[in-house]
Amino acid sequence: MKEFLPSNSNPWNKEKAQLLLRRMGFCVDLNSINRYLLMTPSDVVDELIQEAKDLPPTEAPEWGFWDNKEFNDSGKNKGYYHTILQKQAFTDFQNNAFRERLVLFWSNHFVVEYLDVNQPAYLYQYYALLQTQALGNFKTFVHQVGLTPAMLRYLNGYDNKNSSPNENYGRELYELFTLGQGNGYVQEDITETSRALTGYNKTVRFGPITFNENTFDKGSKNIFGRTGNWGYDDVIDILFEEKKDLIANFICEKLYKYFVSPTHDDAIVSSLATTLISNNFELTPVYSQLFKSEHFFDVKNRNVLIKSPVDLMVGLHKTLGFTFNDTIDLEVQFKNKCRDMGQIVFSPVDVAGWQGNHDWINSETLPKRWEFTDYLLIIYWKNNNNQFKKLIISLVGEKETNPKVIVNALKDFMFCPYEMKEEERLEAIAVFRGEVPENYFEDGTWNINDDSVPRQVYDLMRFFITLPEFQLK
Amino acid sequence: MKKNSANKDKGKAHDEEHAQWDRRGFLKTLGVAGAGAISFGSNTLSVVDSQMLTTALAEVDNDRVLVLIRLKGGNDGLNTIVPIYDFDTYANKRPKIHIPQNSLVKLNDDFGIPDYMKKIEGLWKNGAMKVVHGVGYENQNLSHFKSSEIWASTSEDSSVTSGWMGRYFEEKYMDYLINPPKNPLAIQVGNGGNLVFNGDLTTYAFSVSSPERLKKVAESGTIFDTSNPPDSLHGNQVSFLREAVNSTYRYASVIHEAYDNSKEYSGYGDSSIDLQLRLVSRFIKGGLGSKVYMVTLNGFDTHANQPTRHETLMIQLSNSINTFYADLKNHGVDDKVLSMTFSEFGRRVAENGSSGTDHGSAAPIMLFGPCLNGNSFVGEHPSLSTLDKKGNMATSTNFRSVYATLLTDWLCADPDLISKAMIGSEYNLLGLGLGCNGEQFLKLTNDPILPIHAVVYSKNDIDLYLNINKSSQVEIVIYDLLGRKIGTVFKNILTSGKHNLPLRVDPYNKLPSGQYIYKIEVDGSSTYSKAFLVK
Repeated sequence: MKEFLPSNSNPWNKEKAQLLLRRMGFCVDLNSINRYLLMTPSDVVDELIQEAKDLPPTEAPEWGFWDNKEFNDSGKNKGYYHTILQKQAFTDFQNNAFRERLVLFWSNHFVVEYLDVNQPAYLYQYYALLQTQALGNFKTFVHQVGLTPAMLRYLNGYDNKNSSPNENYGRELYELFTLGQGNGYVQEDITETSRALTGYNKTVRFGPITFNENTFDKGSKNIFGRTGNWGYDDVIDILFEEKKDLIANFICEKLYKYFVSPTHDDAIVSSLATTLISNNFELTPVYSQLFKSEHFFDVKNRNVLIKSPVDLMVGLHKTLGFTFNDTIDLEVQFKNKCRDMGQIVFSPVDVAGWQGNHDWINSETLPKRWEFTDYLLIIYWKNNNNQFKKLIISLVGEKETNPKVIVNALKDFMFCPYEMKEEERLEAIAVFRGEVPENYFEDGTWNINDDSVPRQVYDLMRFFITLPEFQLK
Repeated sequence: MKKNSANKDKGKAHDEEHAQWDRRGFLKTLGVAGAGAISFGSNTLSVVDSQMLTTALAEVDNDRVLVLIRLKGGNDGLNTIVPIYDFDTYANKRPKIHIPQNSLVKLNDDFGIPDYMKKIEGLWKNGAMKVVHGVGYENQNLSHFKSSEIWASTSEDSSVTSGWMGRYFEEKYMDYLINPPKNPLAIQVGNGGNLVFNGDLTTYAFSVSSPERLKKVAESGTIFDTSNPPDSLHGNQVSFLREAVNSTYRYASVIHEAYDNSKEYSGYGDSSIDLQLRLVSRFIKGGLGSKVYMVTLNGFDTHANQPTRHETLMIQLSNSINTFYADLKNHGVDDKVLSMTFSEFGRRVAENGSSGTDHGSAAPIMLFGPCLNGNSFVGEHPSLSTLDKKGNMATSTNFRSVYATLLTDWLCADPDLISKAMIGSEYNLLGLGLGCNGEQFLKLTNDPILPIHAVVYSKNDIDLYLNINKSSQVEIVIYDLLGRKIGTVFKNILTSGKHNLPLRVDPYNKLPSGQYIYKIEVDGSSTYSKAFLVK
């Protein structure tokens, strides 16, 4: 897999930096772009990864390890705490780049639905694990996530006892978390694996869930052809010894589809898988290889991912970096609006997660995408319309008077670079000209500091967000 | 003079509306479908098959159409309607650019139009044209933007972001967002930045940025062209999204249907205004049912070389208006269509040094349509000699009076709504020869049997106040905003006189908070509806 080495014919430029930042993180703000352009792409990727690694997990809330009694005694219902954590996730999405992007990815891989878990402390502990393991070792990740009380509750590991085995987690461990549907296992493996996973059934009032020898199935099990008195640790060891190629391919394909393109490229995926295996399932080398590759930056892979609601909202907000009236609880707005567009944080549609791509778009969600991005523009406008002017000046300078140049500059900033159709460009220019008489641009009456400029930019942005390409990255 | 104090608290009420934005989950409706579902909190209600109450309301409405023709840039009123009565002053102040007397077509002894506008003379002669003199507002703002904003919002207060038509629609079609009408209420060509059709909740016009775009929608029924996408994954994704946009724009297909449903009239030229009026005519003839159209002719900011530029524009304008009415007449609907030109300001009385004119103030408004019942000049022409410090004429007619008259006497709006649509200043009703007699419309007054009905809020309850002049069988039913019947409030003989009826379906409990609509049926025939809010 070829690393991207900038050359005269294939330079490291604004477009590529934007692509990298939008996909590794959520946005492209002007300052970052300018700074990253002075570095090599490889150094940028290293820096983003290192930042993500160095970032401590979000501080535990006071209730992060409460049991059910403590929640009941607090006098507030669980919804109150769930909301706090969902809002925290949006705060983290905004503040952190690559790590939170990965948390979002992994929360859609090792899915739990918070209403099914129904214990806010469990949800917090799960969230903390995603943050800690997102750049860690995939095998460790799998091992640990299965023991989080959130997952034990969600996929019934907690109900899985020697006397009454429950196959739910055993099945999803293979089908959704490591191998893929029907890929390298048979029903007998699930039955036997489930027996080996028994015992995690002990808790008092839904505090920590711990191992109970008495509910563990001590009999012999045959998993992937290996027989023994296997327990939880053995299941993970055997899985990663026997099926490493399948696991690596499965997980690298999923990463590829999330970060590069909905149609996967076998050669690239297999090259990533090789890296994952040769690094003992450490994830960072895979991330590093992928984001540094020539393939990642390939023109044919640009503007092919449909933004998720979180991408759309957090991305626009961070990209513009505009202020809004601080009486608005932006995280609540994000949370509710993403919900209305089909993405409830910590509650993917089902255990298989959001399928993304075309699933995000229908005639109900599309108008909401327009309305909600418009909502953001409106709150910025209401708070301070001058910031629209400031942005455009920082993009094109104080001297620019050509509407076409201005429209292009804002387009390049707000969209992932694409060739705008000429008729659309003309429309955008007409929108930008707005109420300004035509001759003002030619005869020098208009300049970029005019009072009309904030509204011109605002109107242009409101036009841009309704273009189909705005949904892509 | 009508004082307009009811709107003092408008700003506050708006903030409250915005606070409710989320809960109500309103959809943005630049002709965008919400078809499917709307979220109320966590409940998703399907509205696809719900009875379209707004549509039902609109159906009993009249079939009158208003066409607003915006002359963007500040049209020179003095070279449009030339003051023959004070020709010397006029000509002296404009030595290079005045229209010579021998190049004028006289409308009467006092006023004429340049002969290159003679195409509209026929409309004048047939009593299908009126001119309102000196239209504007006090303390003319000379910025294009600010003045356009004032003309659209009717307020000098920049924090008002709604327009007069938008507020009118918002009051009239209170359930618009939930039960959007089948056809667009209004169509706007030109840039979307103009506030005319903005309400506080949404925009009430299907709005396109250019005549060409409207033509495309009319011809294809789609917003975006999805043919021949580039052969790549990106191309496929864009096609997918374009298809999604096309099927989401609810109004594109009905616009296309109306277009297809009508025949082309030959005679239009190929200017931008020709194209726009030609399309408007196709929509009207095709039965689109939109109430208001706004078209734009750009280029009136004639600071230099005014004579040729203004002539070109005026020829285009007069030709297209003349053709437009011939076309409508040919189809037998010319009496249903009233058109009005307007501009953000007129121009300076005296010419400048570049054979042009600078930004001015008051200017005439031209109205067209057989419905005007005779030609005339309305109001006083402002003096050409008594000018303000900048050399501009005084306003003799407040533009809000023109709007209010159109709403009252052409769209037959409830007087209540007009005071809500007009904010910022006082207004009068002008005698434009229009009227609502015989037209069916929803109005609170002028009904001999039920002249008054209104919601009255008391401390603990909401009552319906009625004043009925004849003992009648009355039924009052409450609907929710989805048009579903909530229940009956009253069904019995109501004696003549004043009544306060609690708006309750269940005698022991108030209605849950929310917006509702009451419908009064008198003697099984005439019905009256209005939306109300339970807090």
